[in-house]
Amino acid sequence: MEPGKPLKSDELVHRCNPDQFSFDTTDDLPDLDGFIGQERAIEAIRFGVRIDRPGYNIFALGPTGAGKNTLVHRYARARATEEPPPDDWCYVNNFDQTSKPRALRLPAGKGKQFSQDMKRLVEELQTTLSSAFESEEYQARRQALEAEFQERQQESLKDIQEQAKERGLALLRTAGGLVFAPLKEDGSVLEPEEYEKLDEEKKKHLQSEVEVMQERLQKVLYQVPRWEREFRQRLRDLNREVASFVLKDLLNDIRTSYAKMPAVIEHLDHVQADVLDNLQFILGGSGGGQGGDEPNAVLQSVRAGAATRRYQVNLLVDSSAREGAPVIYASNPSYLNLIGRVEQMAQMGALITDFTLIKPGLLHEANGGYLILDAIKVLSSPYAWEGLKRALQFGEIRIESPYEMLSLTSTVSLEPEPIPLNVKIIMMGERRLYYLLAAYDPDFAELFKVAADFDDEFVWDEDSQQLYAQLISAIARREQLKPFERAAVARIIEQSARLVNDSERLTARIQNVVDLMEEADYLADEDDAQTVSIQHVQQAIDAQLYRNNRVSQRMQEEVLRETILIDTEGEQVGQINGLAVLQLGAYAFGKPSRITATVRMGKGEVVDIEREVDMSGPIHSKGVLILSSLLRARYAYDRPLSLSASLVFEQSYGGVDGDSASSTELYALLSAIAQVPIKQSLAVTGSVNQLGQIQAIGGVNEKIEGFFELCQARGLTGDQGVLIPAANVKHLMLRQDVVDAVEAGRFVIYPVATIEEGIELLTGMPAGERDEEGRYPEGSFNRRVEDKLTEMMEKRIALDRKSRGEDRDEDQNQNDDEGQAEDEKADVNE
Amino acid sequence: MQENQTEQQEETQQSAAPAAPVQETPRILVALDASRNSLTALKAAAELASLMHADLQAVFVEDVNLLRLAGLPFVHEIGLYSAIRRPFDGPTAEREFRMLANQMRRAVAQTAVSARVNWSFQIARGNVEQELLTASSAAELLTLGRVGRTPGKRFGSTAQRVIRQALCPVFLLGDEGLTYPLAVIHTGSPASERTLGLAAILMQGRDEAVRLFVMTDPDHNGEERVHRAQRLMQGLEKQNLQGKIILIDSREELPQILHATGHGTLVLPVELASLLDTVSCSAILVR
Repeated sequence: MEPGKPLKSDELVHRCNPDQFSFDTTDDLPDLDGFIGQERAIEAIRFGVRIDRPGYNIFALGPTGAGKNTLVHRYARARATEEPPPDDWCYVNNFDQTSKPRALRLPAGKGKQFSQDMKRLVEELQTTLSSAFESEEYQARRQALEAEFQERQQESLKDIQEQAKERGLALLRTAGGLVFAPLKEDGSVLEPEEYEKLDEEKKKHLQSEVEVMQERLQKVLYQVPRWEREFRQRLRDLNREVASFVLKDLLNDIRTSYAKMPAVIEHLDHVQADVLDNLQFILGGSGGGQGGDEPNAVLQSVRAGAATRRYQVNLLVDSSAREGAPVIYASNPSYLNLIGRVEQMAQMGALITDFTLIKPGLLHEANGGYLILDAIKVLSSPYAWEGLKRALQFGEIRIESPYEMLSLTSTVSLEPEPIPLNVKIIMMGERRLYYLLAAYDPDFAELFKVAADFDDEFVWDEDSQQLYAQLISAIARREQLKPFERAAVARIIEQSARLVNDSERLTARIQNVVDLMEEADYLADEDDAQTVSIQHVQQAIDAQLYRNNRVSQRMQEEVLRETILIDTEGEQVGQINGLAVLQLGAYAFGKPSRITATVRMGKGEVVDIEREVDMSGPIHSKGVLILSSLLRARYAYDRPLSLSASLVFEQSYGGVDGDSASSTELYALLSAIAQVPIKQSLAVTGSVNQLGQIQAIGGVNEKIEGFFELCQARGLTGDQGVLIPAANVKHLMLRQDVVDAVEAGRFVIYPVATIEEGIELLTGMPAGERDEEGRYPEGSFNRRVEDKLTEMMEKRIALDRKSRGEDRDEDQNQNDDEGQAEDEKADVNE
Repeated sequence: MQENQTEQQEETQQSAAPAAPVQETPRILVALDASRNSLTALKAAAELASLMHADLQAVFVEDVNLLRLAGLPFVHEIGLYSAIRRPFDGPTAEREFRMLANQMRRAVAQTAVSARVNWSFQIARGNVEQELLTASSAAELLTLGRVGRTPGKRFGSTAQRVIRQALCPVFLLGDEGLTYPLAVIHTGSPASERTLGLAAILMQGRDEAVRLFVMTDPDHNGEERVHRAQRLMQGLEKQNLQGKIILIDSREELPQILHATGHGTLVLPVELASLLDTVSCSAILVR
């Protein structure tokens, strides 16, 4: 490359030569073992998963599609297989305080067994207890008790009835009680009239007889509730006696299997005590008899269900089928999904809950292993981030409902005993999120001490190219695509460089490559081809472009219809073609813009119209200030700059930013000053510094292609082309049609290192350098600029002098004028 | 004179379309005293009324003895549960009767409407047995609970007295109500013959067999027994009944055999009423 000279077609794109590969299709290639690039991130993850210290959680930051997920999973899984499976965790009833279920830790696999053992226990408990209570021995003892109670009651009443009969009284029933009725000799009740006829003594006697009997009856009835209580107590004692015999036998079996787990043994002791206290509920109405009075069958069955639930085991974490430590990816890391929840169920119209309704969260599942999370999902889910931090900070999982925390609900809920947490969190997210968290959350740095920073791109060299081919092969196999031909692989690699706009780098956003491959595979399928060829890849690239280029096409149409004015032929003073890049989603395209400059006599200010109306960003304004100081330093360093200039991006209706047009603006300005026309067949990009050097800009490929498309639509003349900074040549990854046009001599791309080179290309005039006397040579462009500026300065001085003379005259007439001015003011006020 | 004086109030409710005059429709009478058994009796009576296309006639007797008692100045009511002594006077007794009557009336209305039968509710005042017997004179069947409200009894005294004197069949209801399979007891008496007819009504729409327990005469030989059984089979067929005949030699073994075979409501001739001292279930006594 030689600055100022057209680039050759082979400099416009870095071709990946398929002949460098030894394979025919990707089927011949082994899978990629490891990753390309990302050494820094890999090292960080390797370190992060192995270090066993609090706070050493990992944040994998980088662009989407860079393979964070794959890499993180691979390293976490590799580490997890070396680690033992975590312990099992269960929640069991707390018989002392039902609202605070107890957490039990058991060795991996034991939890399931314990849960089954307890389930079997409850089943056996019911059948064994029922049969014990149905046994003849129990029934006989129970009936004896009942009969004793009944008889006691009946005997005492019968006794009363007989005593009453002896006294000539009968016991009658009223709505709420009993009364004694004096009888006549025929057995009917004595009537009040007849009573009145009796003599006083008889009346008294009768009265006292009734009185005595009433007292006796009262005594008997007073005793009935006490007898009943006594009966119940004796029945309960009998039940306990029978049940504890059965229970001891059942529990001893389980106790021996868990002898080494004191917490389980303690729980079993509690179970034993509780069963004896709640026999009537366990047996329902069937055996114990105490629940038999329950009028509501539904309520009774609910109670029986609840009674057996008490002894269940809620197996929260079951590691029985697990090999190694868990690696869990949280697809929906909401607060409840992370921390776990206490569910409720509707029972007879009310919401109820118990320890069996505690549901584990992802933290429970990943406890003792690795939990992989998407940062954006955690942060956008209410309270999830706070909950996660709290769990990590305190090293325990405490299930609390966020609704209660916010007082949104006041239903009775549970406070399960917290479970100790030992988990490695691997969070993935964009860089922006990482830096925001680091800046605004003081806990973040404490909790996520390992940052795994993923690169966007890596160097394109022989080795990486070979690995890339293997990667493509691996993707093809993983995604079950057709094998890719050698040339197709090469084309994909080229496109990968184009994606990062750099002929010496390849994209690390593998997802884009996967997408391209899938689309090419689809096209190959449409073609009934067995392998994916370079044509399919190219078609896929073109199709992607076509799907996205509606806006750029519309804009080009408007240029062709001359709604937007862009010349691609002829010469104009103070007018030049600039190039801008527009980004719409993932698609960027170049758009030519006309930049114009006008000059007039003034005091040396360069007006950036864009900035005046706040349509330019700070970098653009900076570029304009640089070029105006360059103008002063180069052409008017020893005298006042006596012009004012205005610069504008014509027909720009949105804002502009960036300094990539500063050299362009300078050319337009110089053309306007020197009144030398600029070739409209050329478009210019590049920023300029104060010394007149052209500096690199972004989006060079899109800019060139944008201008090329316009020229091509109007018909290529061979004169048309683009001036780019020489520093950008290494970024060129141009489209094939541009390369072909350059090769055919119908389009030109000039690398430019200095303003002078640009001037010569744009005007066809020599720029000229200062000689020993500090003068630009005659006939050079710079000389014309300098001459124009000198001319303006002289005119300005002459004008100043003249105006100073007029000022003096004016001073003399001032007194007259003032009176007149006051009159005018009065008029205005009216 | 005064003893026989009765006061009657009657309320009749036609819950179906205006039917033929009341006299022509058979009536099932149910005696109510607010005891648990009497409510079971109400339900069974409604079922029977529906089966027999009869009207349901409920009667609540205000026991005149209690009213008399209330006139005596020294009488107190002792609370059955609380054992508290309360004065028992005329107004109290009246109030209690009214309360029970209302309660019963609601129960009758509810039961009759759901069984879709015409019903009437009658309050009588007098001697309980007398009133029931009077009311039952025009009824097809009298239903009442085995035990009343006085505690500590298996076979109520009112029920015992009523079955001795009633002219119509009496249905005594235990806690379990009307249950199947029916057990019909046949002694060979004229009343026994009528048990089959009643059983046929109760078995309407049911595809199951009745158990026919036949009391044999110990003097009869085998041939005579077979003959009798065949005759009874024909009797069953005439009534469109499926039946299973069980021959029984002595009356003493009847309770045991009944217990061993298992059975629902008993249908038996009235001469076997004493059986109910030992067998506690619902029973229909046929005269």
